[in-house]
Amino acid sequence: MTHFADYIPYVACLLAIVTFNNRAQQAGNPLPSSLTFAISGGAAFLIGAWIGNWIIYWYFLGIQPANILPHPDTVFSTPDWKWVPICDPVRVSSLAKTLLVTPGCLLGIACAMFAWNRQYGLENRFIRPPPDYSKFGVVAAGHGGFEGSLINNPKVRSVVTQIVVIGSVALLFYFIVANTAHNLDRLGIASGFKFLCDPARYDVTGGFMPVSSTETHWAAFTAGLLNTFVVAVFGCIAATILGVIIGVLRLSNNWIVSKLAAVYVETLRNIPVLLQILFWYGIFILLPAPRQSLKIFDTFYLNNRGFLGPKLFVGDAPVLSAEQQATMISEMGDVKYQRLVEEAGGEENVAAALAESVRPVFGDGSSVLFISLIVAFFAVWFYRRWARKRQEATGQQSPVFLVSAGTIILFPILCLLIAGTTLELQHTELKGFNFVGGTSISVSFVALWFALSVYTAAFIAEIVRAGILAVPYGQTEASYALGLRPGQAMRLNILPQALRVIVPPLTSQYLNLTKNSSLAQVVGFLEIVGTIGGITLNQTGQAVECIVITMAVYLIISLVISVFMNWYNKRIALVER
Amino acid sequence: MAREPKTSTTRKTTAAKKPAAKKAAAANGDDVAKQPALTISDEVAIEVAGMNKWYGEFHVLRDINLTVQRGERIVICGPSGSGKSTLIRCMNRLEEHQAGKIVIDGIELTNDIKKIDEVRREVGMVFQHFNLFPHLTIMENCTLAPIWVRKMPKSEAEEIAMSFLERVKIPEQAHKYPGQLSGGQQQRVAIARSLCMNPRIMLFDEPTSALDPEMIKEVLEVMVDLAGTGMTMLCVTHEMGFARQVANRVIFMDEGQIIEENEPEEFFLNPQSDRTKLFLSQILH
Amino acid sequence: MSDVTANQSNLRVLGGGIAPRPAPATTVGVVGWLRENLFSSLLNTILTILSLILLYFTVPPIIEWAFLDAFWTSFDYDGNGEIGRNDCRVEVLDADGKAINAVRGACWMFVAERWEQLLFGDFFKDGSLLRPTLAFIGLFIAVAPMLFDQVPGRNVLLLFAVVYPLLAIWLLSGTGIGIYYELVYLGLIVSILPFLFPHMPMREPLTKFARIYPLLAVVLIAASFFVSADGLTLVPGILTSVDTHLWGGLLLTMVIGVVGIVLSLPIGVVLALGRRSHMPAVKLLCVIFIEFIRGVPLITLLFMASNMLPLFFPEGYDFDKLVRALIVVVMFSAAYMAEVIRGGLQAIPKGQYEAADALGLSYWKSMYLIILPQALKIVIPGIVNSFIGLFKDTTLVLIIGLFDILNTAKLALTDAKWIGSVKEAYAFVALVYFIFCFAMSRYSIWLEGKLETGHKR
Repeated sequence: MTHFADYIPYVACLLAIVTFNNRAQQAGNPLPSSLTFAISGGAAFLIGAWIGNWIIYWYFLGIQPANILPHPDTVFSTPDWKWVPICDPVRVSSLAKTLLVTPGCLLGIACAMFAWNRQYGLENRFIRPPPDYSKFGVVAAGHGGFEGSLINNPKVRSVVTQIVVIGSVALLFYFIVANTAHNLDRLGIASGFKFLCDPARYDVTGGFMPVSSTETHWAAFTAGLLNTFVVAVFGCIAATILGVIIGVLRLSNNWIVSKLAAVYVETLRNIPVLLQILFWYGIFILLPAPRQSLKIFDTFYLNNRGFLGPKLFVGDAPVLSAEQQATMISEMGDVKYQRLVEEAGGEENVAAALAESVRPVFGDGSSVLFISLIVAFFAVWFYRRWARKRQEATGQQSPVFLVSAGTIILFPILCLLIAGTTLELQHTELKGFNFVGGTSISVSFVALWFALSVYTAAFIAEIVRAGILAVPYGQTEASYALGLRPGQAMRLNILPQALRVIVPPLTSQYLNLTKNSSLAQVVGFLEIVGTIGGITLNQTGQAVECIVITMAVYLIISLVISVFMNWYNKRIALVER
Repeated sequence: MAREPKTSTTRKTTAAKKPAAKKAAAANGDDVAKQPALTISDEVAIEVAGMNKWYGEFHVLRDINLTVQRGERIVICGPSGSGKSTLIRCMNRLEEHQAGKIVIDGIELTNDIKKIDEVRREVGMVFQHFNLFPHLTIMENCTLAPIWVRKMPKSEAEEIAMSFLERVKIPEQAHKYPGQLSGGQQQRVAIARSLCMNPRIMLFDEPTSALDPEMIKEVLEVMVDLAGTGMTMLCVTHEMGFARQVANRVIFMDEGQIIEENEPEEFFLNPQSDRTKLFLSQILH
Repeated sequence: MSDVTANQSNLRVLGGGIAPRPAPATTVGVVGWLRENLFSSLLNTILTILSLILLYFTVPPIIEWAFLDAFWTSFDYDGNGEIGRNDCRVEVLDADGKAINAVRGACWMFVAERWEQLLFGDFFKDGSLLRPTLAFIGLFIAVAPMLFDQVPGRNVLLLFAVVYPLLAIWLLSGTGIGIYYELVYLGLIVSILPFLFPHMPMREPLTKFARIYPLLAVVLIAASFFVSADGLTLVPGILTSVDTHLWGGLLLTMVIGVVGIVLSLPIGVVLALGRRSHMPAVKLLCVIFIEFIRGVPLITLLFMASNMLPLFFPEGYDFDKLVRALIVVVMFSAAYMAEVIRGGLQAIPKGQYEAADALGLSYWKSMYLIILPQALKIVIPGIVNSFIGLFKDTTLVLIIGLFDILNTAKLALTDAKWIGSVKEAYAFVALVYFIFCFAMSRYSIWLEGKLETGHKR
């Protein structure tokens, strides 16, 4: 059975390799590109898997590293659809491997790119070598100068100052560490990360991956991680869309609309986000009870427990072996078992019902979807290259956008139909006092997502507005004067210049949204800070380790986004004297 | 002369050019530098009839009547706020007029987008502040419109662009970015960029006003050179030397109206209206 | 046409006698404005209609709730001897059309009754409310010379501003800060006097004192670690001591906000200078500190303060919860401030640094006299934005159990008499924050406009 997350590291590797290879070709890479692909891809994957395994397993948990090279069987066939705790190396789940392999992969690719850069000298500012216009009989003028070199101050005073500074910081650290060790000892608090493999003794519900109290702290942590990820991604998407709309509306010459947008921005920017989260939560729990839910198109329901809708299953339900069924039945307890039998309509349907209850969203046969998506992406990528070459050669333009969108949407659907993969839509139904089946999103998530999106959208609106205003109107005029239509002028001239100004503060707003998601615990939504920074910390008392893990997660996210931003800034910097 | 690229857009056929008519003033054997009055055909390039424009309540252009033949070079001058920039910006619909008629190359300027696009293809404009696209190289600046509007293949567009860059004498800067060039170089690139679209009319909105004095000369040389090729030019400028050298007519505007219009020598030697006299006394000390 | 054109003069003299005429009726006036702004295209028309619909459905209900149906003054309408949410009930028709008693409008009585708690927390339990009010007024007096230019008696006010922190601590907590720190503080005031009042008598000895003052300060602070002062203090003990756990509401928010703002600016400047330093060790430390603080949410830092800080110090060192929060908030704000200031430092042309060097100014003098004044002016909007963000972030102390205004409002809601007044409570808190933050942002725009005239690029 395939698990969709298996594809993440491979896709990430491939995309990064393709991009990197592209740049290398431009810089004059002498090797044939297929060889470059093979070498860098293979190396990155091996290095990544090895590093990831080594770090997580051996260093932190003191456990013997599992299989270094993920065997295809173990990767692609997991008996359990949950995030099986990595504390048991035998039953390593593919998703855990994803966590290990992806950063390792990226690290491997980064190393390869670094080495390549040293050898072939892609310059720091990502300036492509000047195009060759010698065919016109013209000799290119020299480049503009780069910045001068750093002048280091070699005076003795600076050395002494540095020694003093480092010395005092080191002393401070020693003071802190010694005291901490002594106090931990005194209070009888354990240290080390072994607690991650102990049972959590609390449920994680209301999120996107329920974890029962018998599972480990690590499982709870990964559930919290997933929750943070979902809030951040969907929050950023919603905030961007809303923010762009409001920013553009604010610039419109329709007086009512621009004033309304201004009121929106000013109000929301001056009220603390915590208050807004509490406010929206207070609004959403005033919705009616499940029995009187608001119906939307008769398939979606909104009530004070959350937002419910159908669930799309791609692929078949799993086939559970007899012992798996037996384990599940014994874990359930009698009461739940009886209810299950009732709902299933008899003992003979129990097997199917059990299988349904653990059915993953992407089951057997769903790999078709992902393979076809990957193929569609590559097809679109090649099509766009071909279209660009065609335009350069003959001047004819192709309907790139329509074809790309169409391919990415239609091709996977076509493949699914041909392969005959099961597609089942499970509707949510009201049984008794509550809804069963389908997707249910807890009201805390809805309130949190809504509040964060609306709050961040106000800031993004200002950023977008500033970006568009930063482009002098003369650029638009010059584009029109050349005969470009407004759409073309926007796409070719205004947006590229505006994006330079928009993207850096935009990414820092994304970062802010991710960090603000840590306020989820006031509405009872368990993400990272709620699980490992909250309940786990209180239960185990190991404050230092828990807080270190929490901070490490956020630091990694910040670092990745910062690196991206630095790269982006360097790449698009306007070249000046 | 500009090359005729393969295009798919319809163009009016030019009327047969009459042989050059010599002006009386040129008969007294003037300086060699003065451009011969070339090919002023009888075809009307621009016709403005009863044009009025308001900015809100402010009547910025009042009853403008103007006819420009193909091949004419017209210099518009006047004090600031007289509406001269607004007038030429109305010619390619960067500004809208509220009353009257503007016909460019036989196409009337209304709210019809297709007609506006057609007009903009045939009319080139050079701005006071250059307005080069800073994120593109010089070559890309010049080839952008031919590729995306006239749908030319890239290599052809580059050839044409390079030929014009040579005309304005900066072919070796083709791979650089606007931020790396001086003001005079940027303005010359702006002129080349407009020429790459093969316009039949060129509008200049104070092209040298934002330049340092030592760079004005190089830009004016390019404009004189352009005039020598028979391009229909409408310039708003304060450079009276240029007017004397190249213009067929000088138009003086004040308070949104055309006050006086004459050949350059007559205009400078015998200004008729008082306002013209006042203006000339201020700029030609 | 023939060669006639050759000799014909192109002379046309129109004389310019055209008087300005009024613009066509459809382009000016109300009609013109409407057409231009609201209905200029199909899209605009649709948007206008949608906006009007939106306004129709949101504004009247809000005005009804907040103003028309609201109860403003405390009065025991239901006559049960105490004032609670029940006093705001009126007769309404419920979903089935029956007449019942329910709350329809805003019950601002909640605010009227609980204003002491909302504004000052539990301060009134141990001290008179006059004290925080005086401290608040004093804050504005102290800040006035920095906000406004033509304030009379500027120097006296600046002196007051220097004295104010100690005064505020005394008013709010009823105690001083220990004799060592008080002496340090006193020395600071004395050494600043000659700068504020250049023509005062005894200038010479005071300036000499100012030179040795830093050394004195270090000695005193070091002594405080070794010799316990045992509660010896200079301030008169006439005020009752109010422990910090009683501070709450707007008082606590202001304390955290003001302390955060005041302390984060100098620390941020130091960090920014350190980050731009040419000494690798200093630069590395500053970068690590700034990137670390900016990469983690404030919540985690607050958790760290409340859970881990006690572990960092030897037994018996008990940190006030408020002090822990203050340390974290100051560090957090200083890191963001450092980035803002760094932007300003980068915007100063290199020539300024070189000119300062050429004049022979030392590093610190050139920073203080030349670079920093320019840099700070450039980034004033960024600094004020930082302040606004800090002020809003004070709500987060809710999570470590401090009672800022939001948490106090939540607490007041748990009172049985006022359960259900959620909207009123949050609306009040939102209004308070909005007023402060909006005022700060308008001030920054005003300040920017005023300073731009001198700094136009």
